[in-house]
Amino acid sequence: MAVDRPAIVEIENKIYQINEFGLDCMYVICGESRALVVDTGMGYCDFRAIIGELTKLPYDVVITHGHVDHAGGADQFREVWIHPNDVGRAKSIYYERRIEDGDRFRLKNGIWDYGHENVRYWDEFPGIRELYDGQTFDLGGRLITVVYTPGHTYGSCCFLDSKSRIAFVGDALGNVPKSYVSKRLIGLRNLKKHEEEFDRMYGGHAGRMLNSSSKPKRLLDDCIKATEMVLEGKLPLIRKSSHFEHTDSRASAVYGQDMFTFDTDRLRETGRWEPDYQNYCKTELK
Amino acid sequence: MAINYPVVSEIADGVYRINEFGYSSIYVVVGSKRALVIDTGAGCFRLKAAIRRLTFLPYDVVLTHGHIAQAGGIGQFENIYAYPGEYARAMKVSRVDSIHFCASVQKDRAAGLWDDALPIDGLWDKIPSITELYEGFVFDLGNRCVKTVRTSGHTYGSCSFIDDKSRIAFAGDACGTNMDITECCVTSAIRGLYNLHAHGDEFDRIFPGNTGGASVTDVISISPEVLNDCIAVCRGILTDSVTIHQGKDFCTAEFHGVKVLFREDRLYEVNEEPLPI
Repeated sequence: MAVDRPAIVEIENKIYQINEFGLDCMYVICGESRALVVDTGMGYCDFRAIIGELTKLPYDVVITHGHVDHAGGADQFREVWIHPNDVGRAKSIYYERRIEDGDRFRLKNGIWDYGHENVRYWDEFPGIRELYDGQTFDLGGRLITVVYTPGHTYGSCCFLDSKSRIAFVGDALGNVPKSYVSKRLIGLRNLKKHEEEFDRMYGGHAGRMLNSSSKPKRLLDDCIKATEMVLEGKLPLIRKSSHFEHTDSRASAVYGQDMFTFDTDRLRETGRWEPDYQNYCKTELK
Repeated sequence: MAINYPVVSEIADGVYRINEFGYSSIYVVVGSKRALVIDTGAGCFRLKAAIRRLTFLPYDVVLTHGHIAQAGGIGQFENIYAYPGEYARAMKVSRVDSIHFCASVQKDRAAGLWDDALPIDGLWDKIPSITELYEGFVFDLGNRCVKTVRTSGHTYGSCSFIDDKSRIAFAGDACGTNMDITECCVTSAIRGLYNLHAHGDEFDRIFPGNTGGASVTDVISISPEVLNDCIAVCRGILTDSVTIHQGKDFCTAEFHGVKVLFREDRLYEVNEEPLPI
């Protein structure tokens, strides 16, 4: 027998992390009068029922960014909050896409057990409410602040909880698949401005196993430094093609605890200046 | 493939729970100067190495009580903190006992989620020294203090620990939806629960020493309301106001989803006056 339902971990008083089969993580934050649901997962589980088990409060659903593993389950809700830049991306996630990606991301460690029959078909996309930087959600006793952190996607957002001092960063510290590296720097610096307001960071993925822990605090500084150094052309690159797209321009950079993958053709939005990467490309990996 | 490693979950800032193959829960509380390890598990993995992955600070090891699932790993450490009677019990725990315990749990558990781990050799040689615990003993970890509260019931020397920063009570097996007070009399259990209840304003969550079942992968605390229910059941046993099921060896009383397993012939201490309820 393997784990056939998402694993729930209480990461703080009244804050729950739901690990959806190792694919991604959702969070339920309960205040005194309302609750907030961060991300919707791939829709491989009856997330609404799980929220119902955890809290009886009315709740809002916010989405950190519009990728399939975070916005894929959005259609089970009546209304979701998402940054306008990611609305189009979130709306283009179809039932077939979720089935296909569930197989593509499936972990081979034998711990998680899920199948296509778990994926529900919903015919309507929920109503969209738009998130913006600095917006707050008052849950009664705790205030959640939205921090706009583009980079992973154009519309990535982080959420800061005032009471538990946790930042829910989604994939903001992760790779830069389609957006620009310079965008990542803007987003990370925006999060850095709020550094005093949180002690722990929880991401949109909890790892492949059942373990659950917050991200190391110094990761944010490492990410900023790595991004700056890539833009300045000071960091050696590891060439590799991504799991998802096989293009020659993909490369990874490592600094401290941060390793992120990006597109060398998409460093700066303006595209005027680019360092010569060919000369110090350290390792060639297939 | 089954899960063949202990699962570590962060349940608050600097507080980790290690789920030892569904046998038991071990807690590691990390402060700014020291750390505290609550219980040592059944000895099925190298706890010392697991602690080092969480913190490099010096740490103390403390036992909630001396049963196999809590005291199986004490041979890895130089010194442990325990209530005097519990230390004697902990010293009697042997690898063979632990193998029997693990085998019995494996028989009951839902097949295949966890690897069938058995106590490993080499953890059982050292005999740790003891520092005696008493009610109100405080572990100063720097930016947080962990206080000892004596909660007899599951065993006579059971202790609970309250962390003032995360406001969590680590209750061992003293309180939960499945209480086993067959080793003790019911009045002792009531005294222990009342003692924890007296500190009710110091914690928001209770984490138990068990894992809630071998097939449970969720890490969710017990609400402090369960403590009130536990008290209600134990009081109900003495006043005959709860339904009691007569089992083969033990009796079970149930109320509000809280089950208490007790012995009918041990309601009061020997020569004890009936507790005023």
